[in-house]
Amino acid sequence: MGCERVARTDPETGVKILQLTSFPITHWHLGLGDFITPDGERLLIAANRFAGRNSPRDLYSIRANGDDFHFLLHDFSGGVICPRGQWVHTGCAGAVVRIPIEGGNAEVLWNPGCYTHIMVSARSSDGLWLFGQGRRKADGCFDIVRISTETGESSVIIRASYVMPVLRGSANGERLVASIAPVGDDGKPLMPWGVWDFSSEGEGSDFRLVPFSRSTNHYCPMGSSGLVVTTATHPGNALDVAAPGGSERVLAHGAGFWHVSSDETGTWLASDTNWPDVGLQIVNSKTGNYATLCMTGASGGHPQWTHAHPVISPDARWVLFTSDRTGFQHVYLADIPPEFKKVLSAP
Amino acid sequence: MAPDQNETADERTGARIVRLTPPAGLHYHQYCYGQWIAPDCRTLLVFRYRELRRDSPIDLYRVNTDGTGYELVAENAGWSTISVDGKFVFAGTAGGILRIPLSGGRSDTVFRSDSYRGMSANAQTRDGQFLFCHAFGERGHELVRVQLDTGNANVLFQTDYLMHLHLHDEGRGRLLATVRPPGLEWGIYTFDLDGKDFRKLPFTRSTNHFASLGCTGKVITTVHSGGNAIEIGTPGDAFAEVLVEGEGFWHPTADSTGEWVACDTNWPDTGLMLVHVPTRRFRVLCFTGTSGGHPQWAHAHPRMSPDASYVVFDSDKSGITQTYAVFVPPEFKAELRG
Repeated sequence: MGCERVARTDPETGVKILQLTSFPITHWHLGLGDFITPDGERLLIAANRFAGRNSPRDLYSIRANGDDFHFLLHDFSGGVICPRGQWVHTGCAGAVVRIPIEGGNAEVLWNPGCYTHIMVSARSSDGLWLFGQGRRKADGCFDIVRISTETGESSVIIRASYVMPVLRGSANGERLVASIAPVGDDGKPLMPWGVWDFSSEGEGSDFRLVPFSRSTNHYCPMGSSGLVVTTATHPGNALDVAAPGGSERVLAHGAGFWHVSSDETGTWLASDTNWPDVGLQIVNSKTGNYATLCMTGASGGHPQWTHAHPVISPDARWVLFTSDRTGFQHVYLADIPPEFKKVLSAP
Repeated sequence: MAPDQNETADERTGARIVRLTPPAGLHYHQYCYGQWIAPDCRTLLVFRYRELRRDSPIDLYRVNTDGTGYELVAENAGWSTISVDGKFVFAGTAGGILRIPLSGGRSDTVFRSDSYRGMSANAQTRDGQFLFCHAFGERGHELVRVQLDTGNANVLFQTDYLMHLHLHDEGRGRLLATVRPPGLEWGIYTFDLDGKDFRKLPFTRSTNHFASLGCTGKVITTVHSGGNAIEIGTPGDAFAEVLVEGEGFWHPTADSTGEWVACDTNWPDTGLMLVHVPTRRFRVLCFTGTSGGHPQWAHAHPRMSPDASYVVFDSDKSGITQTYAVFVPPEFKAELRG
């Protein structure tokens, strides 16, 4: 397929936007995990195979400039790119596999046989460990697991009856963050549901609750800062930030912040808005200043495919988002102009 | 008009636009090859992805310019051409060329070969005797001439590059293509019906988007480097001349007389332009709304009817590319003729 990009300019802000996909089926990016290369040059996106509610989902690789859009794997679950960019690790048919990023045969790294599927969403910064969640065939609960990319060695960090994708909570991957409801082997609650920060080392690992009092359950680790940020809508509209095991504070308020993401340093955040949609906001976490980068055109309805789900690149050069503005959800990439950052950095 | 057709007026120019294809499928018209429209100027060919999936088979349909009569002609068809009598469609397939009644019905094979990966039916001579086809496979590209009454076929030449092959000057005996002819350099050429007598167009900055200027024997192309323009060239001449300039002209098309040209624009898209060749005046006919991105399905690819009464174009403005016809208001022509 090669390239499907369409260049646009936001009519209000003048920001350049690349529509990365345009074939009329549903596309999306992989959320907040490690699916972008550290240099921000390449990423993973997903697509329904055909237009239908029952469509299987396929994994693709694409360059941030829209070039080299190619198929990787049918029927995948999650995906991360290794630090040097040559491999993609993803879940497939209850196993974890790896595929060359340029495409090719999938090689099974780990197949424990006890999961219906395993979603791979994060890795350690050195690429030696993968983190994900496997849905247990036995009881439908989820095991948060870590897997060695060298040996396939694995361990269960925690079991949960509810889990959002596991994210890297610290730059080196020693800490993880996830919204989970931990349970014991008997399926009974171990700890209350919440956004938890925990060690990636293994079982029973130093759980610290992130003390959000009004989180939308849309949150992300703030890069290397050790903090976690969430959007908050009840009461008020804000971005709240908190240290695991510490206290929370308001980072910015006034817009209907909805889904938030952070760059690698924790300085720059991107958040879409809703009720009303006042555009995709770029936030400087040091100053609390924010401004509209562009309008996404996402309809902001109930289905996930109508949400913009912005993800800022590790180096804060661009923001990835999805939009159903054409009638089909496609993946878009908006550049962040340097002068835009300069204004928001001013006290 | 069938319930799923729709008719609108362009918001800025008022020109009447009819969507010709059902909105749930990805369509595109036969934008660069073959005799795409029946002699009565009423029926044309469009392609449709059978399913909304990237690896979908592509089928050939016919539709009338008022949006009625949308019917399947052939499954898995390639670039095709309507016969000069308007009764048949010659459809390219991987294994040869089929002849199918334009009104629908059983097909028969006019040429079969297992040695090609694909074929397109590009042009039929006005006497109906010969069909010219572009075949490609392991030997590269070949121009194949099929004698329709006998089925005999000849390879007129082989090359490593052949694109946009179509009948030139309204069928007065020459073909037009971008080609690297045997022993010659790559370029836009006209050549005779024996695949000989190559005459190069004097285009030095062509986008490789070009069309015959009706029956004039001349060729038009869009140019982007060194300014935005439409140029006119005569095969074999040393120089081309600028017809009009100033807009980001992209894909040109002309009527059968060469009096009228239509051309979409990009970088920026300032609309689908109607150009009067004798006066060199032009104006916006309508806005296609197409996104103008990288994929071919994001390009308008206008084609003007032989009688210059309408222009067919594609647009992905609805999210799924559809084929539209915009009708040229007589007052636009009067204005440009001055």
